[in-house]
This record gives sequence, C-alpha cells and structure tokens, in this order.
Amino acid sequence: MMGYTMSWAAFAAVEVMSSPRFALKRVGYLAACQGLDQPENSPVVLLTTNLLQKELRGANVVDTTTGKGGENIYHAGLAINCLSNIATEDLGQALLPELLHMLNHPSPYIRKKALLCLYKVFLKYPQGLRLSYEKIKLCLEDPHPSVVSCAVNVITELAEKNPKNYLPLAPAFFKLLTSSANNWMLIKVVKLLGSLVPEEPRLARKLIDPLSGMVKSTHAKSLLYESVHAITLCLPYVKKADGSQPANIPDVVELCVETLRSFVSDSDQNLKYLGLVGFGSLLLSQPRVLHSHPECRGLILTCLSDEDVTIRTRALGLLKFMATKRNLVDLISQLLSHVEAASGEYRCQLVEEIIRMCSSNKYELVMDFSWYVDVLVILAGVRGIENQGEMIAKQWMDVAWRVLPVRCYAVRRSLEILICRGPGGADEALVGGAKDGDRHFVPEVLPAAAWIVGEYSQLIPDGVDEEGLNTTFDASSKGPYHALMQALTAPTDAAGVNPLPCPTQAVFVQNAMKVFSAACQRNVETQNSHGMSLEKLVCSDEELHACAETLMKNLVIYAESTDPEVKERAFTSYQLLLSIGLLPSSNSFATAASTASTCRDAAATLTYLLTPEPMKPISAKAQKRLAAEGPPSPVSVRDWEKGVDWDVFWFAKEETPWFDKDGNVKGSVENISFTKHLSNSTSGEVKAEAMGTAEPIPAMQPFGDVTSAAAEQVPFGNISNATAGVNIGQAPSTSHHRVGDPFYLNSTPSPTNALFSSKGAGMDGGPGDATNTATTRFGVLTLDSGGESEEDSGRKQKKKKKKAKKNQRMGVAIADSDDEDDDHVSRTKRGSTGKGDRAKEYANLALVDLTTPLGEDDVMPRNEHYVVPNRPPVRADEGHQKQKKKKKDKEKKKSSRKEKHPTTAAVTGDLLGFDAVGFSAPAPLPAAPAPTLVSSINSAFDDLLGLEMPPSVEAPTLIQHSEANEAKAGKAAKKASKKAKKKTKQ
Amino acid sequence: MISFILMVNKQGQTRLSSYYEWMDMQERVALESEIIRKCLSRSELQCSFLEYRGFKVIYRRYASLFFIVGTKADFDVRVKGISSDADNYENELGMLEFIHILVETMDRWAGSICELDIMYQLEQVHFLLDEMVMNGYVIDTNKSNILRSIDLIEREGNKNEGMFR
Repeated sequence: MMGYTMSWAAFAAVEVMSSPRFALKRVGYLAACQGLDQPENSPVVLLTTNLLQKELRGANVVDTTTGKGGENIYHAGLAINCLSNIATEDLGQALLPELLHMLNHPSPYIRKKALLCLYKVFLKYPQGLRLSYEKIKLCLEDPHPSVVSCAVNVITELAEKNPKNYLPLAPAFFKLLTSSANNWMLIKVVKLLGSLVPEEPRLARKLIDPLSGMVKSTHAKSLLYESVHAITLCLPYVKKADGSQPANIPDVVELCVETLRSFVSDSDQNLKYLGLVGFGSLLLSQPRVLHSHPECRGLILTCLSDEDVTIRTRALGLLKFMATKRNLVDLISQLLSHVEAASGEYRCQLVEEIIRMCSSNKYELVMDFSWYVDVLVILAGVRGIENQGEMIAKQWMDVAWRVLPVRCYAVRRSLEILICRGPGGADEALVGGAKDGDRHFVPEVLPAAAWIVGEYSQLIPDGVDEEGLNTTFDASSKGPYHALMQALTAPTDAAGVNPLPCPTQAVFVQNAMKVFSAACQRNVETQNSHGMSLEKLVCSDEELHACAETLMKNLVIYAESTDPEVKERAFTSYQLLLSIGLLPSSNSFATAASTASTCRDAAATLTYLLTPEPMKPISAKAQKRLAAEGPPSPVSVRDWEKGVDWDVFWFAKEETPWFDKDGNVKGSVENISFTKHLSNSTSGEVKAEAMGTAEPIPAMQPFGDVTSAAAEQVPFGNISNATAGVNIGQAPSTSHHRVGDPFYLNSTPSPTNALFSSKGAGMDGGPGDATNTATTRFGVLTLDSGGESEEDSGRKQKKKKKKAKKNQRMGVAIADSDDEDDDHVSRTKRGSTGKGDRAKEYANLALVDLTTPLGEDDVMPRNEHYVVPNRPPVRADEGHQKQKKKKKDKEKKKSSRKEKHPTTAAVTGDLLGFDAVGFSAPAPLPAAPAPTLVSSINSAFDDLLGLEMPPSVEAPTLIQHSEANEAKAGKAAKKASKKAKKKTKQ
Repeated sequence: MISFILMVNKQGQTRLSSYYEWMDMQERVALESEIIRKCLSRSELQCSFLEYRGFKVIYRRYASLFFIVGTKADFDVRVKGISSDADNYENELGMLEFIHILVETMDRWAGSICELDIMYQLEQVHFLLDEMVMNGYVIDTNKSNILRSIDLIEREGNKNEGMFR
C-alpha cells in the first residue's frame, strides 16, 4: 500500500484477522486484501482456510426469532470479500461448499457477494464450475435485482471464456433484455449476448431487432453505445442460410452509422472517442460503409487534428478503411503534414499507418510509384522514427525491384540521399535552398539507398541526367560517379563524427565496387558505341582516375575495420583492384589516362564479378510450379563452374599454381583455400578472385562472405592439411561448415572448452537456443573426429546436454534474480508472466464443459471428518493377500500424490488399518465392501484431480456419496458381528 | 473487469489505491506514476479515456482529486475472429458513471468529501469501496444500500469498543 510492500506483515495481518473484535478484524481483512503477497506464493494463505470457513459458516447461524446473529452476515461479508482477493486453488476447493451454501442465504447482501466471489474461485479451481453451475443459474431468477445483476455479471465473464456452455441460457437473457430497466445490468446482458452470437449465428437475426429498438428508445448513452457495439458484432452473422441478407439490415446499418456519427460530432470528447471506437468495429463487418457516407469521412478527418492523442490515434486507425485509389494521394499528403506536427509515439504510428495504407494488398491503391518513392524519401527524412526505419528501407527496396518503371527515379533519389551526406552536398543544399532542408535521414535507409544505387548502377546516368540533382559530394568531386564513390566510401556519417554502423559499411563497400564497375563500363560503352545518342553520361578519364583513387584510399581504411564483414569485403575488393592492375593510391606515377585505361580493360571482369543478374519478379504461376516441384536440388559447384566465362580472367593467363597458361583452372575453384595469406602477389590475386567468384550476388548473399570472414580469423594451423593452400578432395560444403564454425578445432574437442562455452551460453541469459546450438556444433565436430571416439563422444554429448540443461535452468534462475535490480525488464517480464498465469486460468475455465450432465464422479469435495463406523468384517485368510497388495498400491499412490486430501488420506489409512486387527472368524459375507468403498472414493477424487483411474479397482461400484458407503459398511459390519456371535455360540 | 482504482491528487500523490489484479509493488508504483503523469498532462477538454499498456484507463477529476479506474480486457481464449480489439472491456461510459456514483456515495457518507477525509479515514473509504466493488466487479450502485451496510458495520465495530476487553 502506498508503494511499499507489506508482505513482511502478512502474518500479523492474519493474526489480526482472527481477532475477536470486529473493528480489528475488519482492519486485518483489509490488510490481507490489499497487502498480501501474490496468493499462490504466500504461505499465510494456508492459515486462513479455517478462519474463513468459520466465518462463512457463522453467517448461516441466524436466529430468526431473536434476530441475534444478524451481525454475522457482516463477518461473512468481510470473509467473502477477502476470499475473493486471496483465492487459491486449495482455498477454493475447501470453501466452495460453504460459498454455494451462501447462495441460499436470506440476505441479498451475502448472496450477491458470494456469487461474485464464486467467479474468482472458478478461475482458480475450474472443476468447481461444473458442480455449482445449477445454483448459479437459479440466481438469475432471484427476487433481488442486485443479485440478478451479479449473476449476470458472473455469467457474462464466464461466457467470455467459453460461450458454448451458456447458449441454453440465451432465452433467459433475451427475456431480461426485453424486460429489465436496469441499465447496469442491460449493458452486461448486451455484452453477454454479443459474445454468444459467434457460437449461434441464428441468435444474431433475433437480436438485431430488440437491439435497434433499444438504440432508438434508450436515453443512456452508455447503453446506446453498448447496443450499437453489439449490433456491429451481430452484423457479420445475420446472413440467412441461403446467403441473402434480411431486409432490415441496411436500415440497421444506417441507424448505427447515424448514431455513431452523432457521437463523433458531439462536443463531448468522451462520446467522440467512443464514436470512433464504434466506427472501428462497425467497419470490420461493413468496410464499405464510409464510402457511402462522405460526411463521416470529413468528420473523422477533423478528428485527426484533435488535440487529444487518444482520439487522434483512434481516428488514424479508421483511415485505412477510407482510402481509395482516388483519394489516397490527398489523404497521404494530409497525413504527411500531420507527421510534421506530431511527436513521440504518435508520429511513429502515423508513419506506420502511411506505409501500411500504401502497401496494403501489394500496393493496390498506389497509382503513381514515383509519388510513393517521394513519400518514402520524405518519411526517411523525418526525425524520431528510428523504429520505423527498417520498414521504410524495406518498402523502398521492394518498390525499386518490383516496379520497373520507377527504378530510375529510385536510383536518382538514392543518389540524392547518399550524396547530400557530404559537406559539399550540405553547402549546395543550403545555397540552393534544396527541399530536404535538414537532410537528416533514418540510418536504416542508407544501406537500402546504397543497394539500389549499386544494384541498378547502370541506371545512374539516366538518373543524373535529370535536372536539379546535386552531384558534388565535396569540393574535390569530379563528377557524379566520383561523388557517389566518395559518399559510399566515407566511413562516417554526415557530421563526420560517428562511424556508420558496420552492416551499413559492409553494404557500402560492396556497392562502391559495383558503382565503380559501372563507371568503368560506362567508359567502355562510350568507346564501343561512338555517336550513339543514348549515351547520356560519360565518365571522363579524370573522374575515373579520381574514383579509383578514392576507392583505393578508403578501402584500406575499411580493411582495418574491426567488423569481420566489413574488413573482409574491403580486403577482397582491395585485392581485386590490385589484381586488375590498379596501383595503390600512394603511388604517384599513375596518370589519369593510364589508370582509366586499366580500369576500362578490367571493366568486363569487374562487371562479371560484381554485377549479379538482376532480380526479376516471378509470376505467381511459376512460383506455384516451383513450390510443387519441391525445393531445388543443391547445385554443385562443378555444375556452376561450367557456366563460368573464364575468358574474363585474362590477367591470370600466366601460369600460376592454379591456372595454366590458357587460363584454365588446374584444380577447381572449390579447391582453393581461402585461409592462407600467401606472400606473393599472384596468389593474392587468385585468392581475391576466387572470393569474387564464390559470391555471385555479393550484396544479397552473405553466406560466402561470412564463411570467408570466419576463415580470416581462424588461425592457420587449425585447418587440416592446408598444404600450399590447396585442399584436394574436401567437399566444399563440409569445409564451409567447418570454416564457418568458430569453435572448430581439428582434434577432438577438449571438455573444458565445451563446458566453458555451454556455460557461457547459459549465463548469457539467452538460455535455450545458444546452449543447444553450442551442443549441436560440438556434435558435428565429434562426428568429424573419427569413428573410434564416437561412443565416447556420444556420452560426452549427453553429458554436455545435461549440463546445458542445467545451465539453462541456472541461466533462467540467474536472469530472474537479475530482474530484481532491473526495474524495466522485470516489469515487462513479470507483466508477461502474470498475463500467462491469467491466460492459463482462463483457458482452464474455458475447458470446463457444462453441456454434459453431471456424472457420478462429479462430487462436491467434502471436508467432514470421517467417523469410523463399526468395524466392517474382513475375511482374514482370503482378503489378506489381496489387501496387502492393494495396500502397497495405495501407499505408492499416496506417496506419489501430494497430500491434497488429508481427509481422504485419513479414510484410506483407517480403512486399511483393519487387517492389523485380524479377524479369526471367516465372515460369510464377501469382504468386498471395505476395499471397494475405498477405491470408489478414491476414484472419485482421482477424477477430480484429473488422474487416471487406479488400475487395481475391482468391480467399480460407483456410489455417489461416501455416506451411503458408510451406511453400507455399517450394515455389513453389524451382520458380520452377528454371525461372529453365532459362531462363538456354536 | 476493473483492474485498479486510484485516487490521486493534483500533486501526483496517491491517496488511495486498490488493486483487483495482483501486481508486484514495483510494477504498481511504476504504473501509478506513469498513469498519473498522463492524466495530469491532459486538459479538461480532452476525453477521459486513456489507453495504456493494455489497460483502458478511465479517469475523472473532482476538484483537486483524480479518480482513476483501470479496466482490462480479459484475455480472450477464443480465436479472434471479427471482433475488434475494443470489445471485452467494461463499458467506458458505465465506468465514468461508476466513478460519479462512488464520489456521490462518499459525499453522502462524509457530508462533503474532501481529500483530507480520504487521507485520515483511509480504511473507511476502503470499506466503502469494498461495498461497491468486489474483485473487480461492481456489486452495488445503490447509495442507500451501500451506506446502510456501512453504517451497520460501523455500529457493529463500535459496539464492543473499549480500551480493556
């Protein structure tokens, strides 16, 4: 209370609860309701069972003649109130009979409280619902309105969980709906009937009329809203069996729209909000409604500029129903103006909503994609929407590769985004008063832009050709290609302070290469096709030289990156450039012309290596066919090799360890080891080139890069048989596998290492997956290590798994204890676990089936002390062995089951105790009653507990009440004693 | 169901809190402070519903005191078909009305209710609230019914009041 835990005082509270003085007792109960720890965890809850039971029983002791004991009902009221707050399964089970008894209490005060409390008890102890459902139903006909209202309340909540059970009650509620005048209750009844409709569609047609009648007649806005809401729930189900709509539906819809419209246009903000919510649910069933009511559209749009965030959010949710091909542009431009003004969470929602509206149904509504690209660029420039960055980037790439005509424009906008990061771009933008005033871009967009520029680098000239594009990155920029190159190889962001995130850098490196190859290509084309008018942009010698220089200079910087991906890509690219004959940037002998010619010569190679086949959309039919064929069989490297155009490797014509003079490969590409740095330049070339070929689609296929990157890090000695860098006869897949495995060691794994790694994974708090993958990785390793150690490794694996499990558990435990400190994490986590508990409770409640009649095994739990009747006779000689066996079974069961039913346990104990006494005289009656009695009781309880029937039950005579059994047993005992007497007489 | 009822003054101090769904203390404190901040930042003209972390918060201001009721959609075990996310809550207007009745009842109980009454007779207010809401559901909305039982209980409590017993 007041922000402090008082679990330390829990025991004291229970103590005060049992105080004889009412005033104290009240405070005690209050404390228990408010301050007890979570009931399931609190040990003191157990202590309250008896106390509560006593109080509940006390309420029944009302002396009607003197009126004495009337105050007891308040004691009971307190107790019920407390119980509803601290109910647990055990408490529920123990107190259910008392609570049910209270439903017949003369005072409505008690009746209604007991009813509501029952709901909570059912949540904890779902089996109770079956046992007491009949009594709850009776409460619907209670003379006192507040009790009926409570009953409706309870059934409404129950029906939310599993409506099927309550369908038979529909007529009763229908009567209540039409006859009652209590608005509180009517709201609940309407809610209840609404939740029944999905189960029984016929109900929908029946309900529409009274509900619309209620809409017309009622004055209470709350009821009005609830009825409209219920109608919207009914609407999807009103179709008749033949698919036709009843005649009155359009009128009803009209009525709903009219009511909701009056809500929205009301000056009261609360009604406005509810109106919007109502529209939301109405539109789900009648999505076209707004198209026929243009005035509502206007209303909703005005709500978008409301000062209240709650209302704005709701209105925003409705927009997607309003968008059409025709008004989308208008709508979006309005939303964009809102984005400017909005802040915080709402801004993010707006951005998301814009993208969702445009991209719905595969861009169904978008007519002009260059407009959409513009929208995306504007969104990318919005500040404070970092979470949506990825979404925007995805959309952008999606549009670029799906929509062919817009590609050129997308490239142009990408160029803009990339280039304006530079200092020159900034000046230009400021001087020219360019549109992107603050030039901020969501960081996630940069890789997307880089990818588009690289992938469609052939389109750059077309993009640049248009007017108004700023093509200078900084003062030294020689042309668009060079500017782009500068932009892509600048490792820092616009301000020049913070380094870009590594994945972005990696994409940049790759695409810088692609752009470079395009630049070279451009020159070649110029040469080849003189005078062709379609040549738009020529990359001059100076520019190409500048490009190469920038690239060479910056790749070295990138190659020193700590990120393996960036490092590897930069290194490979650098080596590739060296191999085609470009000189390091420090070399001042290279002239512009010579560099340019070198580049031009290499253009074919570069393009071949770097520019993948463009991705094309595949028609739906073809996709289906592919799916029918199943997954494509893995293409072996050798097959792929056949398609390689070896002529492009012209510069490798000299004989090397891997290429003969004709440029043919001696081994095959897969035999080249990526792992050894060879000192001589030729091998460097080959290596780089092999890397190049190994990644046909560099930007899109990280696999090759990752493996090679990992290889870079693996110490040389660890790769087995790496003689002269050639690894003959090793399948590429396995070597990839191994190389990609950071844990790879060429001998059997040392257990300490394994232990360490799995432990580490466990401790990291990412419990399951990390450990598992660790183990499986070791599994792969041990298999590799050879046959003789297989068994051994198997054992080790098992051990490791066990350990991993243990660690996993530990990891969880550790994470939990860590949560205590971390406020936020713990909150979210606990919140979710709490939800999980609730969900489980609800699910359990939903499992209860009320449609079948009570079976014989559905017996109310009894807490009465068992009084041992006269000793039933047992035939010593016959029954002895059987009983012993049974006793064993029973004991086993007893030990396996927790002592949930102390009373039953006592019963079995007592009854089984006789054979110790021993009867010398064989009774003529069969000794059956005692054991069957026990087993039948047991079976009843076992069923309640959801256990299986005990296998040892013989002749399951199902008897409903233990009392009956007792009586029987008593009779049998009498008979037996008589017979015994006779015998002694004889 | 109603998940919690708060009474908070304009300075953001909680005067009364009653939870009908178990949350641990850190969670409660965080929830209260965030909800109160949100309520305080809203003007008279804005609507009295908030949506916050799965709760639908309904609040109403009386003089310097905010009455805040948090309702929660019961977790729905059915597969969500056509029903929107908005159903399954308590009726919002109903809750507003409930707050009003609560205030009226308290008003009649204390003559003219003010923050001090709640501060100094906290347990009494709790009792009163318990008569109106149990376990997250409204039990009674009839002022005289509520007050009668409160009165009786009060008398019962005072009957054997004495220092030595």
